[in-house]
Amino acid sequence: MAVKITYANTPVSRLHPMTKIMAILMLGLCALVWPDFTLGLVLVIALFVVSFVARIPSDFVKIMFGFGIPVTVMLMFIQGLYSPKNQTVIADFGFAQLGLEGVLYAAKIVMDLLVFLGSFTIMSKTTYTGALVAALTSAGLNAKAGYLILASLNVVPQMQRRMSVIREAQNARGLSESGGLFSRLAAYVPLLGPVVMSSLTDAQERGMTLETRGFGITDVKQTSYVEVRWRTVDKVCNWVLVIMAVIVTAISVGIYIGVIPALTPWAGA
Amino acid sequence: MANKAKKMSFWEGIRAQFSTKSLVLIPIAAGINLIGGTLCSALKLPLFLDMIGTIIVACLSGPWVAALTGLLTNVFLALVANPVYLPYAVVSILCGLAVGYMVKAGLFRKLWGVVLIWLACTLVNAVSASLITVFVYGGATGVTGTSLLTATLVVALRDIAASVFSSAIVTNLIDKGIAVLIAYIIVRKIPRRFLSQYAADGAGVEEDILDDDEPGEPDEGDKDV
Repeated sequence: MAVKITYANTPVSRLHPMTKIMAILMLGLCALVWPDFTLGLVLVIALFVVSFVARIPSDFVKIMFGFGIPVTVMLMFIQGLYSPKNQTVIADFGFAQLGLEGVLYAAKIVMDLLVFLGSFTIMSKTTYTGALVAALTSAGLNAKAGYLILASLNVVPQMQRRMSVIREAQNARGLSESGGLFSRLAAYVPLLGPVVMSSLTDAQERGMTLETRGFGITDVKQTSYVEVRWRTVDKVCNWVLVIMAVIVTAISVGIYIGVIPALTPWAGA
Repeated sequence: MANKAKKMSFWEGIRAQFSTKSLVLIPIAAGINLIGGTLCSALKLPLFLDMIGTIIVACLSGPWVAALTGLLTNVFLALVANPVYLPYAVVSILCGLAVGYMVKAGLFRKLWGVVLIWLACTLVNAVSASLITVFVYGGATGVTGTSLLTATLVVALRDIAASVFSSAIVTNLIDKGIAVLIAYIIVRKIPRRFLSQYAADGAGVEEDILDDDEPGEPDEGDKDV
């Protein structure tokens, strides 16, 4: 879980963090409102292309397939075979029938999720967290909330190191981490306890340090060392995203109320 | 999202809970949640135990700080591990609030109260997590063993929502029971000198713990280990 990410200098990583957040929301919205899985599929393919541009294809593929394959299998099984909406049988396995409606519903959910997951992954893998927090803070996020996100990212690897030291120390005292379920469970408290206690003392010191540096002062604007720039590209991207979302929503609403004929025979199933 | 907007307006009124002392506790507690999870896989325990930090902070600083801890834990998991965890932030927030308010009512002092917290926590977690699994993910996320249990139950019960809920209840009952027990043991062991500095933050629990923990009396937690 301890991560050290180097951010390649690509067109994607140069985008303003807010643009990427906007992209997550707008692409997700497009996939959600669209009546079937086709637009989601198109967006997922587009995201794969973006991941190549952002030079994170291996990470991206790992997350997308690591989530996509199990969830597709699970949902095809659960929804495809047992969805109450099933009417059209497309395959018979003897113990259950595979229904078209359930399969389409599962495909739609998987695609919607993959759009969110993919865009979020691209955002988190191409954005320096400091820049993300600075952007969020300048967009109106409470500076203390920003501190919390950054502090967690710093504190957790630090606590993991402390954990491994304590594990070694407890092992040296003869604490057994193997054996039956209950003896392993009994090893839990002597391992976690010291981490909690030392972290609490650490938190106390951290609190005093922050207080003396004016962290608790309210009604002032905290400044950041990290500067994020809003460029023309970001402006264009935002407009494109918003216009796309509006058009997609309009078409989808049209399909739902029947003004526009469904583009695919199974839409709205 | 509507949930979040409501929370922000609440924010102003709850501000008293968020002193610098409590704020620095939040990343630590989120860290404890995550370490608890990694320790589980290190010890090869078939559990999650990922809300021990939330329970501890609920005892130290109150319900809203605990809720924020839960939110932050899931944000961290989403940023670092897998974005699938993000919607479950709602579950962590609700659990933090439930535990926090029950601790505030003094239930953490008595053993039956702790059992009550365990059951409430299980129920809140199972209901909200099932709703998210059914409505966001359509029945299974495929990232945990719970999904397999759900799939088995779907075959038996032929009802998706009921299967998701029953598998959530079963796994949560065990998981949250152990998590609450461990948190109880750890909170009992936190030095009084440390607890007392949070006493003014409005949670009011520490006083209770201090009151019935007579000096010289052996720690109740020791019997359990």
